[in-house]
Order: sequence, then C-alpha cells, then structure tokens
Amino acid sequence: MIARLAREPLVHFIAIGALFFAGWFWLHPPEQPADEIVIDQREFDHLKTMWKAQWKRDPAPSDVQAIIDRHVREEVFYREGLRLKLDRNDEIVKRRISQKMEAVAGDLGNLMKPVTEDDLRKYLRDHADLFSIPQSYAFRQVLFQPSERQQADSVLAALRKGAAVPESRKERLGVPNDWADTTVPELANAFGDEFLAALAELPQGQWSGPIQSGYGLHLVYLERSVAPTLPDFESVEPYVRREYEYQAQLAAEEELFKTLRERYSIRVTAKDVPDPVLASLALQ
Amino acid sequence: MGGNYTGTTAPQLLVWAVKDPIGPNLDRIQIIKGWYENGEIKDQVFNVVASGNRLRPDGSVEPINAPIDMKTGKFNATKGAAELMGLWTDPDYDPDQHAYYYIRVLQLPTARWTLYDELRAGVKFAPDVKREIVERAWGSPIWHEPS
Repeated sequence: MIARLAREPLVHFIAIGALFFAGWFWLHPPEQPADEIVIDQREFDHLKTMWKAQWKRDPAPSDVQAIIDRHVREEVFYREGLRLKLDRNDEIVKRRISQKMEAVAGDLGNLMKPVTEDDLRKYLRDHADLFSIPQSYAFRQVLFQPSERQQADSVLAALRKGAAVPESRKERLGVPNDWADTTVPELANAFGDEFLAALAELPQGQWSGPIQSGYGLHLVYLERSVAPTLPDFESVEPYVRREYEYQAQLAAEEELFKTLRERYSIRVTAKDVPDPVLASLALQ
Repeated sequence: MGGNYTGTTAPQLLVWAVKDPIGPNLDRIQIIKGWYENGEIKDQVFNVVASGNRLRPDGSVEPINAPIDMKTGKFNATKGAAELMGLWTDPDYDPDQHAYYYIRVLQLPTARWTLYDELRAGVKFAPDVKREIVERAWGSPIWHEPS
C-alpha cells in the first residue's frame, strides 16, 4: 500500500509542492499581519518628544502608559478610517495634504538653489522700501492751548533771545518737551499728521511756530532731520533672510503648481458657472 | 487705578485725563461708584469736572452743544477741553459697605461708522439709526471691602 502510494504521481506532486512552500516560507518569513501596530524605538522616541514639547518635562512611567494608550487608540481609529475610505473628499485632509505638497515645493526649491549671502544683499538693495529706517526728527517743543496764542508769541520772542523754557510750560498735557530722534510713524501717533506736515517745513536750529497739532499750538526748535536710510546688511540680515525665504517659498510653490497643473485638464459640467470663469479656465 | 482702598474715611480721588491728539476734545470726567445695599448692587454716576465750567452746583452738567458735521463726518474742533483734572471725594462713604469706584472720561461726539457708510458708500440707514457716538475711556476699578 505504502509502496503503491509512493509511486502515485499525485502524491509526488503534493510532496514537491509542500517542499516548495516550506522553502518559500523559510526564505521569506511571513510579513507582519496588517493588524499589527508596531511601536519601534523611532516611533516611541517621537511620541515622547511630542509629549515633552507640550509638558516641558520627561514623561513619568504612568505618563508613558497614557501616551501609548492614546497612540494605540489613534492608530486603530486611523487605520479603520482609512479602510472605510474616510480620508476621501475630506476638506481638512485635502488641505493638509496640499499644504504638505507646498512645503515639499519649498524644500525642493531650497535644495536646488540654496540661499547665498549675495542673494540676500541683492534682495536688500532691490527692496530698500521694506527695510529702510523711516525719516526721523529730533526737536524740542512748548505746548499752548489754542486760546493762549498771545502767550505763545511772547514766549517765542523770549526763546529766540535765548531764554529757557518757562517752568509752567514743562510737560504740558503730559507731552514731553524734548524729543530725541523719533521716526515719522511714532510722531504721527503722538501728535497727528497735521503736526508732522508742518514740522517737515520748519527751519533747523531756531525756535519757530506756532504749529498746530491735536493738542494745541507748539513752538518748535527743530534740532535735526534724518532722511530715511538703508541699514547695513549685517544689522538687518535676519530680517532680510526671513523675508527672502518667505518669498522664495511662495515662488517655489507657484512654480511647482504650474508644472503639475499642466498634467491636468479641467472639464466643467456644472451649469451655473459664469462665462468669464469658464473662459479663464480655458486659457490656463 | 485698580487696587483696594482700605481707609476708614471717605476716599479722595485725583483724576486727570488728556485728549487723544487725533480725536476731539474732552467733554467731562465722571466717577462711577457701585455698592452693595440690602442684597442689591446699586450704582451712581458722579460728574467730577466738565470743560468750560459747565458743572452745576447740584452735580449735573450743562450739555455741551458740539454736534458733528453731518455732511463730512468731522467732529467739532473748538469746544471741549484738551485736558481735564479734578478732585472728588465720596459724599456717601460708608466704611462698612462693599463698594467700587472707577473713572470714565467722555469725548465730544464723533461720527459713527453708519454715517461714514452713508457718506462714502452711499448706504442708507433708517432714520432712527444712530449716526454719532460719544467715545469714552475708563480705568480699572478701586475696590473697598469692609474688614
């Protein structure tokens, strides 16, 4: 009986097949089942880092339990959600993935064309308006109410003869008398635009006025006026770099978008899309 | 302001306000006092100082007639005061009563956004919609808790 079976081709077939399978599994051990959640060192370190960023200390053993429990819960729901295709047509998932593509575009752009100091210096020269220090003025002022016009005139005459600012006129309305170099935006906040326009017209190095502001009338001794200046590259480099990188990021996103967009055609089947919109889509 | 008053005599408050240089002048300074009496929160507004000596002996204030220009939205630039200062003593102080005090400063009227919408964008609002407002500044209260 055994001898007869040993000669049976079907048995040979099964035996050889079994050997094949055994050899296959020995060479390629079965991969982890799809439902296994592996927390390897890298994953664990990442989870701990995220936790530490929030709590500013190392997690205690009980915290680690909570971290792992939460991770497992999230992973289970995430995988089952993917299985149910809940990621499809979800606004937030779409936005997140498209943001990641934009970030990839920026990284690629930076890899292809790393920023050099020359780039930054040129950017500073080409965008002087972004980085220049605004016009500023240094002056002294004495404040009068609109009803005190006559006192203003007589104090002006005294100041021009070299008298000091009268004690009763110091810090009127809490406004300081002496203003060291102060930029135009700060002065506009402190006195209003009308005062600034008049200040720009005053001669330097003498008492003049009165000029008007929201507070009243001012006698002004304009000490100096400093024109807008472009600062040294070294003193503003971090700002230039930040602005440059931001603009480079936007440009890289746009470039990648244009390249990828060419792969797509757009067909509108909706009825109520306005004609100009359809026309612009056709042009792209 | 802010903080606690722990004295046993009526508090005296020195108040001082200066206008916003790009805004209109000031109308008046008020102190608002609130207190707890028979299970109820009560309050009263005291006028401390008003521009142009308009404060009457009975504590009321003669209204300031400083309307805005309804054709341009500009505020009245001549009336009111650039600066107001005054001293106020609580006339009804009771050290055994919970109370708070805070300062409120009233500006002359300015145009409200509704008027600007009408002037700049041609919008029309119903006649009873307010076209002007009185902006006000206020300070953190000073509290009194009976010991």
